[in-house]
Amino acid sequence: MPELYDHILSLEAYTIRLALAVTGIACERRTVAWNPALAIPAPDVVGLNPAGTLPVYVDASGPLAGVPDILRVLATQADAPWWPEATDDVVARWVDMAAGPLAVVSQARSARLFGATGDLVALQAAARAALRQIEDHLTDVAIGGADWLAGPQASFADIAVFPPVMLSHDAGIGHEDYPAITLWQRRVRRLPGFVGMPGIPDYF
Amino acid sequence: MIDDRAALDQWYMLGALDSFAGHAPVATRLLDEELEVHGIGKTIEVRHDGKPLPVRTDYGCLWTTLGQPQQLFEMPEAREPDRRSVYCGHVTVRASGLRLIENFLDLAHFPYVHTDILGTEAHPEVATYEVEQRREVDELWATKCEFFQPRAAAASSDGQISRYMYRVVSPFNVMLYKTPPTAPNRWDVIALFVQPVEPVLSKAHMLMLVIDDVSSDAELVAFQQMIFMQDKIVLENQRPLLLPLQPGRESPTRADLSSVLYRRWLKEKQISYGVEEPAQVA
Repeated sequence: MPELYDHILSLEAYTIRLALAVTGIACERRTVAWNPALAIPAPDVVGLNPAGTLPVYVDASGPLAGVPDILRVLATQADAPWWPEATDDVVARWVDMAAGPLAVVSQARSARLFGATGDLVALQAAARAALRQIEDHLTDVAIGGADWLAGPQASFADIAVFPPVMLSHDAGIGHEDYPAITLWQRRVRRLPGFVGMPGIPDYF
Repeated sequence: MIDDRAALDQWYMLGALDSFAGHAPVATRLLDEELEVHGIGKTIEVRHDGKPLPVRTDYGCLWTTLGQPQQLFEMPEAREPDRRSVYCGHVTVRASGLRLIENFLDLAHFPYVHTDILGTEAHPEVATYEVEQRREVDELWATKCEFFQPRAAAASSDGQISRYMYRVVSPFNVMLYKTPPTAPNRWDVIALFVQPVEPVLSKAHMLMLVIDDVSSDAELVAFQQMIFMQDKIVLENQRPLLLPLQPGRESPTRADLSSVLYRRWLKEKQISYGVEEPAQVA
């Protein structure tokens, strides 16, 4: 059975936990020692991933790190089309956006909650700009009648973007200015198999 | 500096000793004051306005004070050789430190905030428990607490009826004692030591002293952090932000007995830090 080297508080590890949950792919979770306040590699995973970052997904072909690469592999194993060929580059764009511009949310969150180094004010401003992009896109597609980031069905685009968007609260950014995001996150939370994590509000 | 003696004359936890020893100086804040922690070889110094503050290193923790406190509380469990002592890190919470302590004392939220872990909606009732103010040591104790828990601890595989005791040793320091899944005749200790940074900004430090020969340190820490992060969302949304001590501001039930006596104890101490002043009530 594949293994996921994981920590309950890691935003990136949660993205893969969520993908595993909605696809129903079986996987064993291995909790590792990980201190979100320190920019040092998690000692238990350095042998599998030299950068020491989480999560690390290990299956028959070996260890794999980086959320976009792990999602690619999970998409090939899932029964349902979570990364359809027809919209491959659209999904890829959002998965890369989550790992790129939206990653400031994770940094702002670590600074604010755990005292990790970082200019919180600057990180929050960058995070708001990235959330604004998501909000604008969801508003546009809603006008065209679509509910999801990359087409008429939920995909790994939504799964990759959901964790940083929803953990913006931990970073000190609420969603008062993002009505389209608010409606979209309710749809994501209703997906069969959905799991949340501490820090993601489930009351609105 | 504030002039609230009830807040100043206490010991406050700043973190685990090994986060300071041998590291570069760390800036931190306590009760609105800027502090600097210097690890000089094996000694640790805490400086305020360039002058050293009293320091203690009990239980693997760094303690300091801005006033003249009584002796630091005793935790005899820390001397048991088969007990694991694990520092579970700290989380910054936008809430009055007093609210963090009060939430820690509460059982009623278990089925709703820690669903399927510390409680389940099928068993929501908080059975009557006892609370007393032990004046000779100036501590608040809640005893004979019981709650059905699907997953009481990291090492649990089945549900159990957990027995609990709570011990508040000072306004911002509390610990609970609960039955370990593998040793029903002993107590696990889980402590919450709050570092009040500002009246509504707190750094919550967690320390566990547990009987567990199954879980890794990482699993113990992750379990505790998960529980705390579930509470954090509630804590940051409680209103008013400052803890009200006037009776009649809220309507407690029998399940809230610990909270009622905690607030009464705080009122007796005349603490004002983190507290809603009477003049602020409309």
